[in-house]
Parts: sequence; C-alpha cells; structure tokens
Amino acid sequence: MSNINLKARMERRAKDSSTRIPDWARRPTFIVASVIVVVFFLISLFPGLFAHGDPLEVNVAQALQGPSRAHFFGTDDYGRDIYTRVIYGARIDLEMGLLGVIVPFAIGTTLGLLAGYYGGLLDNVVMRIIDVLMAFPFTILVIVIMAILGPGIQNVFIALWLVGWMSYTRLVRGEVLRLKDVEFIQAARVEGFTDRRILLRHMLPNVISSSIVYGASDIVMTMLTGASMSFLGLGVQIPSPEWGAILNEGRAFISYAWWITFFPGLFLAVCGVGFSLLGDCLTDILRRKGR
Amino acid sequence: MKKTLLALAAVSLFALLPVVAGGASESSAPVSQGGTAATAPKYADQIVVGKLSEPLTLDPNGAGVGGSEVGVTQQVYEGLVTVGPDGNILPLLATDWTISPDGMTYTFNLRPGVKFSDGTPVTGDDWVWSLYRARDYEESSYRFIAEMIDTVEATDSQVVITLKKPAAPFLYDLANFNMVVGSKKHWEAVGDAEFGNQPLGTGPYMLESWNRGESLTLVANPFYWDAGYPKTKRIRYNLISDDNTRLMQLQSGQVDVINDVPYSLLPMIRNNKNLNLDVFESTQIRYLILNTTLEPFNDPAVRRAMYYALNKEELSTLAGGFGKPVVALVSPTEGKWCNLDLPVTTYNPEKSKQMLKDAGYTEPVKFTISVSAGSTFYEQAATLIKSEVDKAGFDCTIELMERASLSAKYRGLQHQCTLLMWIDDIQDPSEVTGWTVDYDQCKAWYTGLVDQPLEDLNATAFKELDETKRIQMYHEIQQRVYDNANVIPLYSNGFAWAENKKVSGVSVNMFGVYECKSWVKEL
Amino acid sequence: MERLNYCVRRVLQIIPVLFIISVVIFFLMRFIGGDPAVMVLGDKATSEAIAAFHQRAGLDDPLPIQYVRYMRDILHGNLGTSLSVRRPVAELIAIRFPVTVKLTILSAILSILISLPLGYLAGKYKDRPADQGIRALALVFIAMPSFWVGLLLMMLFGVKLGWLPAGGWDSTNFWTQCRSLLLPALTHSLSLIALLMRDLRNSVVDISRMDYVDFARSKGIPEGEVKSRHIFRNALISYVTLLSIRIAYMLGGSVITESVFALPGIGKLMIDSIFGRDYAVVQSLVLIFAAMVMVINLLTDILYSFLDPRVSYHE
Repeated sequence: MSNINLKARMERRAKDSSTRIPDWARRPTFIVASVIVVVFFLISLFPGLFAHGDPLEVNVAQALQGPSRAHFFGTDDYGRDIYTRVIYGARIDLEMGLLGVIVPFAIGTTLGLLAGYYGGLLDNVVMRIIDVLMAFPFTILVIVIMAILGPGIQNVFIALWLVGWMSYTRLVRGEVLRLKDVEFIQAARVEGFTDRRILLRHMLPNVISSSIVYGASDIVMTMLTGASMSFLGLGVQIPSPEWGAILNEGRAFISYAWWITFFPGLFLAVCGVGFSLLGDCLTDILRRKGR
Repeated sequence: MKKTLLALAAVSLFALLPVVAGGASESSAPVSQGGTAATAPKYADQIVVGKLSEPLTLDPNGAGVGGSEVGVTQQVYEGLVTVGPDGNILPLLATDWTISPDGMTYTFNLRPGVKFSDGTPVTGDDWVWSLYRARDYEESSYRFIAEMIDTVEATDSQVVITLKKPAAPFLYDLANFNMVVGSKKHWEAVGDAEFGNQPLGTGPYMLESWNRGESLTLVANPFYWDAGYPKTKRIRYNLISDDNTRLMQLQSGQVDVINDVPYSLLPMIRNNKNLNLDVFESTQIRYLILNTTLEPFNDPAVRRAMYYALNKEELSTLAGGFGKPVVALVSPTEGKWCNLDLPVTTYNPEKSKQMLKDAGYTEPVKFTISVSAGSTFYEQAATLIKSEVDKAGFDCTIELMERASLSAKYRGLQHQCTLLMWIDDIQDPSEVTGWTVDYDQCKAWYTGLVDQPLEDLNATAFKELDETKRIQMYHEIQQRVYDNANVIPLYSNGFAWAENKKVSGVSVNMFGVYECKSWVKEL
Repeated sequence: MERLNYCVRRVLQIIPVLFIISVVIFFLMRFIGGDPAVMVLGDKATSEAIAAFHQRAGLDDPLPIQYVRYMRDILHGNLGTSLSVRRPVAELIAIRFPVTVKLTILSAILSILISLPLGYLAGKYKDRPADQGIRALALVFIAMPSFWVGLLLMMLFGVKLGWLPAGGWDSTNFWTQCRSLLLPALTHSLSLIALLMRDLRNSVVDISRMDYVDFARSKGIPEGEVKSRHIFRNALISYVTLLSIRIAYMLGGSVITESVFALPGIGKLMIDSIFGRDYAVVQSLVLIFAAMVMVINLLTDILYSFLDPRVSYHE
C-alpha cells in the first residue's frame, strides 16, 4: 500500500507494457464499458445498418401499437417506428453528451486550476462570475438563451456550455486549494520549479481525476439535461428523433403506451451506464499514473 | 380538521342561514332541501374538480379572463339571460323582456328579491354599473361584447338598455359571461385590484377560500334565489398543473371531475369502469393561419394549394375520434349560420403539386410553421402537417417557440404559418367573422389580409335584423374567406370531460362554459 | 478573529453581485421579447386593452426609469406586484417557497441518509462485491431520466398500489405534506444520491492512500481515530462542496419535478412567470435565488474552514 511499493509496481508495469495488455484493459468493467460505448458509437455513425425504416415516416393507421415483430419497440402516436427513431436518435444524443461536456470540461478545469493556484484578482473575478451565473437558475438561462437565439440544437449547446463549466471550476479550485499546502507541492516550490511545471506536472494530474469523474457523470447529466430541455419544449426541434424528445412525446401516453417512453429512457440509461463505467476506468488509470 | 372547519362554518353568518339541518352532518343531502327521507340517495358535500390552470382573476371583466377564469366566475355571477342547451335564450335574473321594433331599446323586468351572496339586495345601480363596466373597463378583452350599448337605465325592478346601433346578436351578447351583475358597493369597498380576488355576485356559489397554487373552494350561496340549488354544498377546484397527474388523481379518487381532458388520455378513461367520459358538442375549431404579407403565402395560388396538401381527416384524429374535418369558418355547431355548401376538399398531393407547378413553382415551396412549444397537441399537429404537405409539393420546417415569443411573432406578422384555435363566446357568427375579416381587430386574425368589401359586408350583416338575409350574408362571408384561403379551418372537436361514475349532472355548453349548480355526487 | 473578518468580507461581496444580477435580469427579461400584456389578456386583446394594461403597469416608461423604480421598491422591501395576478410578489413567493424548501430538505435528507453510509462502505471495501454493487446502483441512478422515474413511481405507488398521492400538494398537516413530497423527493434525489456516493467513495479511496494517513498510522494513532479524524473528515470536504452545489441547483431547478408531480413550488412559479413575462416575479425570484445560492456558498466555505484548518482566509 505504501508509495514505494506502488512505484515499484508502476515501473514493473512500464517495462511489461510493450508485450502485454495492461491490467486495467482486462477488467470486466472496462470490457463492458467499451462494448457499450463502441456499440453506441457504431449506431450513431451508421444508423442505417441497424434500422431500415425512416425515423420520420408517419403512418397514422399504425399509431400506438405495442412492441411486436414488425415494430420491436412499438409505434408512437403518429405510427412512427420507435425502434428506428431510437436508433437514429443516438447520434444527436451522443453529440449532445460529448460536445456538451468537452468544452465546459476544458474551460472549467483550466480556470479552476489557474484561479486556485494563483488566487488574487483572477480567482476573485472567476469566482464572482461564477457567483453571478450560479445565482441564475438554470432554467432562466436556458429560456433566455433560447428566446434570444431561437430554438435549435446549436443553441442547446450554447446553453449547456454557458452553464456547464462552473461546476468544474469550483471542484478543481477546491482541490487545488487543498493540494497547495500538501508537502510535495511545497517541496516543488522550494526547489524552484516553474509555475507551469508545477501546474501541469504536479497539480493537474492530482486534481484532474475529480474533474474526470465529474465529467464522466456529466456526460450522462448533460444528455438528461437535453431531455429536460425538450421537456420544457426548448430543446431539439421536432420531429428530430432525439431520445429526450421521444421520451417527452410519449409522456402524454405513458399511462397506456409505456413503450414510447420506456425505450428511449432505457437507451439513455444504458448509454449513461456505459459512459460512467468508462469514466470510472479512466479515473483508475489516471489515478495510477498520477502517483 | 373536519371538525374545526365545521365549527368555523357554524359561527360564520353565511353558513348558518342556509344550512338548515342537513348541512352540518358529514353526508348531507342537497343543502337546500333540508332534512331528507332516509330512502333518498345520499349525496356528498363536496365535489372536487381537477383544474389545470389557476384563474388569473375572478373579475368577469378583469384583465386576462379566459376559459380558466370563466369556469369559476360563472358559478359566482349571473346575468339577465342565459343560453339553454338547444341554443335558445332563457330568462335568468330577468324574468321577461321586450324589444322595441327598431331593435334599439331592450327592457328587462328583473326577478324580484335577488340578493348578492352577502345578503345585500341587487339594486338598479348595480346593473347600471356592471353593464357600463363591461363596456368600458379598459383592460377587458371582451368589451366588444358590450360595445353597442349606448345607455343603461335601471330601477330595482327593471333594466332598460339603449343601443347605439341595431345589433342582431344582442340577446346572445347579454348571455355572455362578462354581462353579469356584481356588487358596486363591494367593489367600492375592496378596490379594483382586490375585486378580482374577492368576487361578489348573485350566483349559486360564492368564494370560500383560495389557496394560491393549491386550491380554490366555492361554497353554496345562502341567499341564492333558485330554491333547490346548488345541489352540492361545496365545489373545490384542486389546481393540478399536469394532465397526467390530473388523470391519475381522478383514477385514485382524489378528484371527482376533470375538464378539458387531452384527447391523448381518452383511452385511459374509456378503459376504466369507474370513470365516465363525456364529450360535449363545441364551437371549437383549429385553424391554419397563413400570413399573406410574406412569401410564400402572399400568393393566393399557394394558399389554395394548401386545401389539397392538408389531410384534414388525418388531422382530425388528433381529437381522439371526436374530431370532424370542417370547411367553413363558422362552426357547424352554430347550425344555420354555418355555410355547408362550400366545396369539400380532400387530401390530394398530386393536385397540390400540379397547382404549385401551374403557379410557376418548380422547386418544393419552403415554409416554416411556428407553433407553441411544450404542448403535445401543437407538436402533434405540426408533425402531421409537415408529413402531409411535404408529399404535396411543399417543404415544411417546424419551429417550436415558447408562447410569448410566438405571439409576439404572429402579432407582428413575422410568421409564415401558425396554428390557432377559436371557441365562440356567443351563439352568433358575428364574433368569429369579425375576427377573421376586420383588420383593425387582430390584423384579420394575424394573416395580414385586408379585404375591404368583405369588411363592409360583415358590418352590414351585423346590423341586419332580418334573419334570412343575415344568414345569407354570413354564408357569403364564409365563401369569400374560403376563396381568400388565408384562414384554413382544419377540424372541429368536442370538449372532453371525465368524471367519477358517482358524479352526475355535469354539462358543458358549446362555448365551453359550465355551471356546477346541478352537479351531485352519490356517496 | 481572522475567521470573523473573512466572513464579514464574504458577506459584503454579496452586495455588488446582487446588484449586477438585478441589472442583468431586468434588461434580459425585456430583451427577450414578448409582451406581458398579451400573455395576460390573450389573443382576443384589442390594442386599447393592451395600451391600458401597459399604462397601469408602468410598462410605457423608459427602461432606466422602470429599473430605478424597481430598485427603489426593492430597497424599501417591496418586491413589486405581479403583472398577471395583480398580487404582491412577496405574497406569491411566500405561498410557494415553503413547498420547494421542504422538497429540497427532504431530498437532501434522503440523499445524505442513503449516500453517506453506502459511499463510505464502497470506499472502505474497494473493489469488493459491496463496492461493485453500490457503484452499479449509482450508475443506474444517474443514468435514469428523473421525470421518467417520477412518472413510473407515480404510476406504481399512486395509481396501482394507492399508497401515496398521485402527485399534487396537500398542505393540511405535516403528515399529508410528507406524503405529497415523498415521491417527488425520491425522484429529485436519485441523481444526487449517486453523485454523492461516487464522490465519497473516491475520496475515501484517495485519502486512505495519502501520505499523511500512512503517517498518522505510523505515529501509532489508533486505527479508529485515523478513520474518523483523517479519512472521514477529509472525504467530507469534497462531499460537502458537491452537496452544496447540488442543493443550490435544486433550489433553482426543481421545475421538472414540480411539473411532473404538479407541486405548487417556486420552480413552477418561475417557469410560468418567465413564459408569461411576469417581469416583477421573475426579477424578485432571481434576486432571492441569487441571495440564497450565495449564502449557501458562503456557509459551505465557512464549513470548509472548520473541516480543513489548512484552508486560508486570504483569498
């Protein structure tokens, strides 16, 4: 458990890594996670391979049919095939989850790192901006942005970016403040390492794990936020087959046509589990490297 | 809790007088009957309505009165006359009336002994004040109902109304929800703003309590003039802002009645043996509104192609089997006023394409339909319309907007196409034709079309007292609106209500107005 | 003394932020378009009725004058009058705020009760079945859309089993209030439970590996004390930060839960007021939210300073 042991193990692994698959890659969680994520990426890149219909095809005569051989996931109130819609929705949701997180993750982590490390004016300004933005309820921001820019997916991204970065900054800043006085950082300072080196080599690897853990769950949260925006009628424009939008369309029928709501919800959940698991593995890897 | 309430009721003056014997027991018979025979069915004290939206005001002429508000004010206030189930005018607070031969002077004899729910008698002053207020209250959206009134004179037994110009639908106007008598003294005492929170009328019920965001309770008016009514002592509106929740509360017995049920929920009600589904005939029609000031709908040929590009049969299925495609502007429920001779068009994508081609359009005609976000109905309708017109030579994009932005857009005539709804308030075509034809009222209902001869015809029809001629004029107006193709009627639908099987006596008129005074719930 | 100074300084910082927020929200609301008069009076409103409404509500005045008037009222403790229902904003908020606060408190209690023991257990028994089970639970909790869960819970407990009300708010007494809030609070707290569990677990794992824990052990401090004084207390820092962020978020973002369960809370009031362009209500609500969020942040930071004496007060 001690540091020396760990270091020794790390070195041993570094030697072996050219010849064998690393430990973490053989763990069942990693395998499950990668399978889920890869499958979802395949679905979103090549939806035509998985479903043959048209996600927008309306056929009122077949409305609200339960799951069957012809319609695996049933049909919605317009007779559209839910399975096809869910498959075609993967791209929109994945895009929303990933793009909606990467930008705030990068901005938020950087700002948190700098603000926490340098403190002073920068920290003050960043924290006051966060105070102001955090103080606006999320829904207000979203609605205001949507009302100004008009509805549509690109504005969903802007809304997600505008509110997303703050959590990372706060989290990272807190960690940095905690680490600042820890011995090895102080030692590095005493030895006269540059700020840049301390930040990148010592601080970042130590604080980024909490940021990544949050980011991994944030992918899921972001997808769900997109769904909530559809719930408020402000998200992706219909008739795009976004999961949240399908789910919301089914909301009116949930008492007797459960499948409209159930399947996109299930896809959201499974996709979320995949990303969260992957995030866990990533955290593990990073944590080991950081030591 | 119940005991406290009863104790409170017992000391309150209001409650003491009417509740003769039965009222104090937990399961009273209809209150005004006093003691009941043991064999008669027992009725509940209270009926709970699951109401979707909270009233903005209970002032029948206040700012923001609409269907949600009228649902409550109609129980509290009454006018001179009312509309019977088959559309005839019936006496209410007036027992009878005479109309001068020139149609300018109406004389009403008042029902004697009518009192407000605080026990004060209704005076001529109250009538004069109330009717002038309906005409003059600046923030009222329903002043047009009373605009033809010149003077009102009244004694405690008679009301005489003189008009500025003959108005054929005037008796129907008087039956509207805003032509009711309120207490002038009370209004002076509480002030104008508070009047909307503390209504005082002569109706079967009066406001007992209003917990904002939660519930609104009406209790029987102890001074009500119509013996035997109201049949149930309390009507409680539980404010439930979600339709699914309303239905679930109905299923679990927390509420007894839900009004204006979305059609998507009807299968649940049909499948539940404890629930009744009532669909009442209505004057509600959904319209497609085409902006004639912007491309592509500034071209009448494109607008007319829409008659064949829309599948009204398919759209009417959105009303869960209670929708009927309509052709004329005026609702078929208005009977003789509706022009049934207009050509019925059916979905014909090829013909629409051909019409567009003949008009010189080689590419699919692009347009955006802007509809209200967050509403299942509008999303459904827009989705269907898109799928229909896209096959018929159009290329439609759906734009969901929150309501405030949407209304700003179409009021500014910046939309290309939107969906609007109309429900008549009076049994006469003049209201809807005025709206659709008269540019000054609402920019010819947000299509931007100015058709002066049509406006003149509408003004003439309003004044015409000969019914046969009048009907003819309104039929012609509908023909011309059809030719203009700026407002395209899609389908009419009924008002759907669901009740617990034990509740009876619920009925809704074709304007969506209902009265609770005959409602009962068996125990 | 130093701590007191710090607190005073932080409280004083709140004032300029509130001022900025009041300006931003005031002008944003007017910038986004839409007319409150149209929203209240409806499509049948004539231009005279709209003009009369504007006149009464003072919406015709230049914006800076309207802003000054608004701020003057605020400083006199008057939150303004709702444009739609013509009631004092303070009254509307006073009626609805308790519902949201109670929902948030119940959700926070549920989250803490569930996440604290489970998260700690998972961290302590890292990679053992208990840990894996708890982590799987967290994954599922996070990934489920909350209103989907809400609807399913409502169908099950409200309609099928009839144990709890199917949505709605019954304020009669404490018991009925709890019954009304139980399902919404559960729905509301699922993702929070998951986040907190994961965070606590990771902190416990991280910290139990850190040098000073080893150091404490090597100094011969008893194992129990190592756990309670070092591991647990340090793990709590990140836990408390996350909890406070999410509580602040919950106080402002309960629109969805409140909508699904038809609860007359502040989130519902907020969304209706934004959609209805009820300026005074939105402005006052945003200011109150802002004050609340900042107070929570302040309290978190102070709590921080108690939990971790190394945090300095010189920001």
